[in-house]
Amino acid sequence: MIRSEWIKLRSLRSPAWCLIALLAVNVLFGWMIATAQARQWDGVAAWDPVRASLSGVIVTQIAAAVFGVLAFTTETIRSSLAAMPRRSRLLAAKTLVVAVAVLLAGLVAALLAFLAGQAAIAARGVPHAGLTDPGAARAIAGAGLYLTAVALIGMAAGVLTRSTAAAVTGVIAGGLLVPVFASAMPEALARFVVGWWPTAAGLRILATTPDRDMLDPWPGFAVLAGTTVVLMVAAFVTFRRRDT
Amino acid sequence: MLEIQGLTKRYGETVAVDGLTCTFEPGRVTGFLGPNGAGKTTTMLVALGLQRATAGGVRANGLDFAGCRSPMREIGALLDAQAVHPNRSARAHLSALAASNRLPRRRVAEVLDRVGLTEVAGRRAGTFSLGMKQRLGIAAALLGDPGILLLDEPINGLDPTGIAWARGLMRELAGEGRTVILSSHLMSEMELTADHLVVIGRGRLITDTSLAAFLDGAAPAELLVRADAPGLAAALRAAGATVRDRADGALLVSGVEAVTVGRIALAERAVISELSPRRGSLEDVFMSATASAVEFGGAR
Ligand SMILES: Nc1ncnc2c1ncn2[C@@H]1O[C@H](COP(=O)(O)OP(=O)(O)OP(=O)(O)O)[C@@H](O)[C@H]1O
Ligand SMILES: [Mg+2]
Repeated sequence: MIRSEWIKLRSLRSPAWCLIALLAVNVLFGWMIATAQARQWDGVAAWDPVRASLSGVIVTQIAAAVFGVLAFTTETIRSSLAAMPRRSRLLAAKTLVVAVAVLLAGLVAALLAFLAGQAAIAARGVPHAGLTDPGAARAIAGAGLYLTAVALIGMAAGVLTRSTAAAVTGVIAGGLLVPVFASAMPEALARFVVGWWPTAAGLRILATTPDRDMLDPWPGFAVLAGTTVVLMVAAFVTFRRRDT
Repeated sequence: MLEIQGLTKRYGETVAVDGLTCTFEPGRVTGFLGPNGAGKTTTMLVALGLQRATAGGVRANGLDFAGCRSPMREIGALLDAQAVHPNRSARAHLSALAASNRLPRRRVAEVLDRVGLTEVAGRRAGTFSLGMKQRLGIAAALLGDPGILLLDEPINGLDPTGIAWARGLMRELAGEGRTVILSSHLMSEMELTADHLVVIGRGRLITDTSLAAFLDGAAPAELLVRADAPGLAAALRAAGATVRDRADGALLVSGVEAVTVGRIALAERAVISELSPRRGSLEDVFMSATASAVEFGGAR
């Protein structure tokens, strides 16, 4: 079953391009954000070079989400199910293949973005981080995990909506726009969104400096992971029950 | 063998299949017929576990299809030939299906060969013509070497050679002892391919009978008589036959045997140039059998 899903993924060009785009954009934005933040740093405020170089995932999560959505919505589920009516196994195999592909691509993308970003920061003479610095390895792995979680949320949205357009719109609005427009929200709501909204909380996994107003890295990521699990469970339950 | 027992499927207010009970036997080609919207596709979808029955159920060789370990070995299905990813090659499409059922890889090459797509197996399925997609769908159905074949309109879009090929393939598969179930609206083709017919209308069974019995039962046998003798028609009527004149001068005779027609012609000293039995075509019989069940008749 897993091999079947792997063949499906491998036999198309668009998933591969999606992951290549993820990698390229992540490195590019990691470098750009690191450069910009290093230039703006006043030497006094808390400085987190690791997070600066990995913040490209805010943009690249779109590629991860689209990858997850398309893995489900562009497939002809009827012909798959006519050949394999055990639906949970089919969806589990898809989930696994998507998760592994995005995790691997995400880890490589994060590592390269880290190296490029630190080089850019060092070039400006601002304190930079090394791979063995405390929290650096965790943040890089965390960036991969973050992208994986977003891809699975994308896939769950694809299963639940059965529509590429609806799922992509939903995930981008929910994952990206809600946190971006937090400042336009009423005070209490804004504080909740900034601190607890799954994608905002999940990004704490990139941080290597403490922030009293925010969750710690792993608790923050747990909020995102929990959301992913809930959506995936909903996807499995719906997929098992409905007519196709 | 595919057994359908008391199958009912409702979509909200619409009753697509209504208490259908019938059995598709192995070793023959069964034509699954019915007007548009009769419930053929729905029955197949339920048989494959793609849709849930409202009541009743379907058993494939005594098993519940959804619980099979290697489902493609039980039922090979062609539902919608268009349902392939347009950017995936035919070979990759079949390989993925084979892998999902742990079928040996060589099956992919075997079925590609059997449907004649070997040469284009590396091309994206989106570039295939309708007939090529139909062949790819048939290849997918054959992949697991299944005992039951469930084919929804498999010959749509095939060219004359393709249709003849498909007919031969169906006959061959049935000859190997498989249960071949074929839905189609092409009656002339069905007449040549099927041994047995299951006809439904508005989700209910209309008939479950052999092709020959269906053709005989509904239309009384007629004889086409062509003779250059003006008195023959009157003589036949006198002998109790029903005679209709055809525009081309031939007579359509019913109610008497061919030998009687011969004797009367001899007595009349008429030379017969043609004396042949005429059956109603499957199309005629089908239309009269389903007339009351046609939902989407259109204006006349
Ligand atoms: N998903 C669905 N939702 C609602 N109604 C449906 C659905 N699928 C089928 N139906 C209805 O069920 C009935 C049977 O449809 P079905 O597709 O089984 O007919 P069919 O015999 O295959 O017809 P055709 O010869 O046109 O292919 C129709 O009235 C159809 O409108
Ligand atoms: Mg149909």
